[in-house]
Amino acid sequence: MSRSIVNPAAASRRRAWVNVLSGLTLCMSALVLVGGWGAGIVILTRLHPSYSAMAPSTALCIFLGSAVLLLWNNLRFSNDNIPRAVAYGAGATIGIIAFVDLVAIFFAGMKGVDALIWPDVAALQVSGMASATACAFLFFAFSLLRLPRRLAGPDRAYMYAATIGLVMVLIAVVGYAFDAEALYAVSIYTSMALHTALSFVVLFTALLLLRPDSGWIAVLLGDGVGSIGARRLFPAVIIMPFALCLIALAFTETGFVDANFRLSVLAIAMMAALAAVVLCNAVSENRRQEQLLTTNKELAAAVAARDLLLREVYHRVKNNLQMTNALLQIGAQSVQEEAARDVLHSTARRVEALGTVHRLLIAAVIPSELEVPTFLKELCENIVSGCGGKSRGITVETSADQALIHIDKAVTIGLLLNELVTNAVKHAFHGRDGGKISVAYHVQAAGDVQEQGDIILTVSDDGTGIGTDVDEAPSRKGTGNHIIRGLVQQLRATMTVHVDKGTTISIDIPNEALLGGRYVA
Amino acid sequence: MSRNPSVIIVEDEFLISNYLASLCNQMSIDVLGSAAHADEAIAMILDLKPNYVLMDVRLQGKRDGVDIANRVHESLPHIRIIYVTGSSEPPTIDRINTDNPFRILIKPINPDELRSAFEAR
Repeated sequence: MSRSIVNPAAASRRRAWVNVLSGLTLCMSALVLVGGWGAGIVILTRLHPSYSAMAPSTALCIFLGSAVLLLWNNLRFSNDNIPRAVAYGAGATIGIIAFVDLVAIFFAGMKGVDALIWPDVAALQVSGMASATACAFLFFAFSLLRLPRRLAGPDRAYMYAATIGLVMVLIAVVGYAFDAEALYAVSIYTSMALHTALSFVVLFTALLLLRPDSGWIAVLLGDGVGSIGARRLFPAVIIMPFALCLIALAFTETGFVDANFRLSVLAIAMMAALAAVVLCNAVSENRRQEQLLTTNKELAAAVAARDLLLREVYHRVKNNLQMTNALLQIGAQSVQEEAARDVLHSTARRVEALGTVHRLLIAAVIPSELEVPTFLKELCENIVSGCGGKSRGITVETSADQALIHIDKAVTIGLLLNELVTNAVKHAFHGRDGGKISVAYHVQAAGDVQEQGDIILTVSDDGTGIGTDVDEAPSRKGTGNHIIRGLVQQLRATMTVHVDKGTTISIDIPNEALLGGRYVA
Repeated sequence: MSRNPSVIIVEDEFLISNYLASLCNQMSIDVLGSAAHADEAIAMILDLKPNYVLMDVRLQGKRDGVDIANRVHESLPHIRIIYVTGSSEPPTIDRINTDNPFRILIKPINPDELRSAFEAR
């Protein structure tokens, strides 16, 4: 259901309509009051000799109501107390007049509120405010009283009151169109004037247009596709049955067809016309869907082009990293000092770890996400062979849950694993040949089924324990540990080291750290 | 009590933050601290009142470096903010320029650029 009517053009159109509608009723009621009742021009109070007249009280209430609607429709700021007072005052006045009218009719047997202040109403053949008119005014007054309320959401009571009022008076209008006598036979509608009924249709419509934020009016005036379709069908669905019935009535009155045959013709005509409306709507929906499919295809093509471009970029980044790696290795060859050479080699391997991430991204299904099992396997095997572990018979075994990891985090975790696995290869198997390193990436179960829990990253070896790395040059060891501590902190993770027949390093990475990718928001 | 100028580094990549800190140390600029998140950064800058802030634009979380700078400048309008950003595309630069930046440096940063940013008056 579409509630948001934010389209400014539509809002100003709506405001213009409310002005026109309430302006109309304002002028009309003023004419009835001044010209009809003041100057005695009968045609203004009674449109047709056989119709009821609009009572002075009715004209007064319509005038008041129209004025309030005009005022509120053109209000810039609703925090002003004067318009609020006007709305409350007018609402209360109309409500009291209508209530007194109903009491006068049903309990005092009088001809409504007008007879109370104007006893010779009967002599003038004026019937006073009809009970249906009074009821409609009660709904109208209720809506007016709710107009100044400051509500956070849509006002459903306002909408319901205006809608019930509208339906009530539409019965009178349709009744006039078909057979005024038949309408008057319904006691509460007796003596509701035609222009009273028409004024009410206008006023209730204006009320609904003034606050079109809930219920059917919100759906009808909304921006959604459904609302657009509804606006297209609405006139046909509303006017057609009415017009068909009117035609059928005309035919029977001329004696062309008899009453029962009229019903079957009416039924067929109604079916045919409604079917036509439904099918016309189907045609336009089909057209809309075709447009949507075309747009979707274009979007898919654009996304594919973007993916291709992204992969191309990853490719170039990977090549550049490979070149950087090569430059560092070449530089290392020309350095005599072993410690300096070591630094260059370690740096080259760190660059290579970054390159692995980008190499895998080229082939990734989603171009910014990596599949963890493949990533872990490729990365760790590269690290082990890169720092000479393979030739020493050191193997690496990886196990990972089927999960995706964003490029940002893949880079951080890649660098972290590079340090940890390199450390293991260099120091865990000191003084012996061969050994096994195990790397695992497991997603812990979270409370919520939909959500992913923390990540536990473990690097373990079956070596001699962490205390054996005494031969390591202090600077190299310092840099590696410094990077490990920094990256663990960046991931907001906690690291624990356990030494028992080898070393197990376990890093607990909170799930939020993985979700907070920059490209997400 | 040293008279060296002071700086706080706001950067969410540990390695880059670390590199910037070592460059600052070489230039005799006191690094009072470094922060990776907006809240942490705002609290640290307001508390320690450095002469300069080296500010990354893209950070983890919803707020970026310009948000931090705007908040800091509300209370301490004289702090000089040197933006260090990886992206030189117009939308980012336009966004930085809304804050009246002291200097904008595009990554990768070389030491001379950083030095001249600190020496600018």
